[in-house]
Amino acid sequence: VTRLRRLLADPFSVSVLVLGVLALAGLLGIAVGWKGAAASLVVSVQLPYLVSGAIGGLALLGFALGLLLIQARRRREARRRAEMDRVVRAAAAVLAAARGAA
Amino acid sequence: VKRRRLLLLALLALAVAPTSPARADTTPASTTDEAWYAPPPTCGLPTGCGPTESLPPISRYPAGTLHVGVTAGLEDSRTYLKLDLSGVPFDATLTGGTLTLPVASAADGTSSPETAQVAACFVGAAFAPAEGSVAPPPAVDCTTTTAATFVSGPPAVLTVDLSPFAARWANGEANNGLALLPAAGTAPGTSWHVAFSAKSRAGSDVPPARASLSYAAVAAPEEPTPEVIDSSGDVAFGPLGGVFVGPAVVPSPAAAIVEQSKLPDRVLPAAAVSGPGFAYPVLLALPLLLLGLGGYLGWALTRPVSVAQS
Repeated sequence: VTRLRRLLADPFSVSVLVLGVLALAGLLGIAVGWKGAAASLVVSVQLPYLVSGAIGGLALLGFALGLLLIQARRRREARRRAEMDRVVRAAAAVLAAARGAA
Repeated sequence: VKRRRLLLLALLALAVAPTSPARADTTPASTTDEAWYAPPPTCGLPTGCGPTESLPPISRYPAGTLHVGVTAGLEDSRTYLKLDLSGVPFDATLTGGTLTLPVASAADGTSSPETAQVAACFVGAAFAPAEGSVAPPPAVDCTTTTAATFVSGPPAVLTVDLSPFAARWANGEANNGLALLPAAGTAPGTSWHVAFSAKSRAGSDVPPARASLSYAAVAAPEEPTPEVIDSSGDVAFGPLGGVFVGPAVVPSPAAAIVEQSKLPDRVLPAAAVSGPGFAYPVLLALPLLLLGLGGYLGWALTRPVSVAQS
């Protein structure tokens, strides 16, 4: 429970969760659009399903996946910065130890 | 004895003399106005038809044809006909009739006419002649309805029994016409189409719709015997002991005109103006939800990403 609470308090985790839900909604929109368009042979009936379902679903999916990609890049950059900090701290510690020995 | 015989003869004359019998008759009738509508299939969606004023009429069928059809379970066309009832005498009562609609060929758009389930309903308001109009058609009143019967040809025809409608017309209801539309309960996925010839169509072997109206006319009473001649050859007075018995009173034509001029019990509006309304009121909250979601994502995407230190 504590782990889950910590996870929900992290904006990154919640944003990934929300974007995942949006991506799933986009996939669902595409599926509903396909099902509605396939149920009719009349183009004017198929059009609303294609516009609202398929195109809307694709837009939602693209939006969600794009933001997820941005979040993933931010995460990778943060991890790289953290590693760099660790290296700098280690180098500083080594330098301090060398000075003490001298 | 002579008076008794005269009385007997008078009673006999009264018994034999008919008293204004009703005489049944039929008259042919044609259509005065014809229109067929091709409502957009979006009318079948919960969101309604949407704006149709700017759409041009759909006319993928030959000119001068009328259509009723279903495509994949959805109505794609319906026909409105207004019959000319002026052939019925003003003092007669309309009792029934038959509307006969010769089915046009496949070149005119007919397909699977034997599976067609066409229903006739009252039209609630006057309509203008149209061919393939995408405007919302006038409302129909299907509380009185009759299913059309397909009779294979040649020529194949659809017949509609007009008796239920005649009863309402006889009660003084306005004749705004009849709508021929797909019957309720059409199975999903079914497709059929029947085309008819309009009265204005020229150069076609398929005749336009025609109707035969039945009515009961009040026949003029026979002249009663004005005089009674007894066996002695003397001219006697009329029956009932010398009181002249005149012909039965013929109803005044003015009474029928007054009856016809009365307003119907239920006056239907010519048009109703109303907004589309909200089919799904909960959708009102959707923009707020999207706004909140966008705000949260904007905030979350600008927070520093924390990485667990190992």
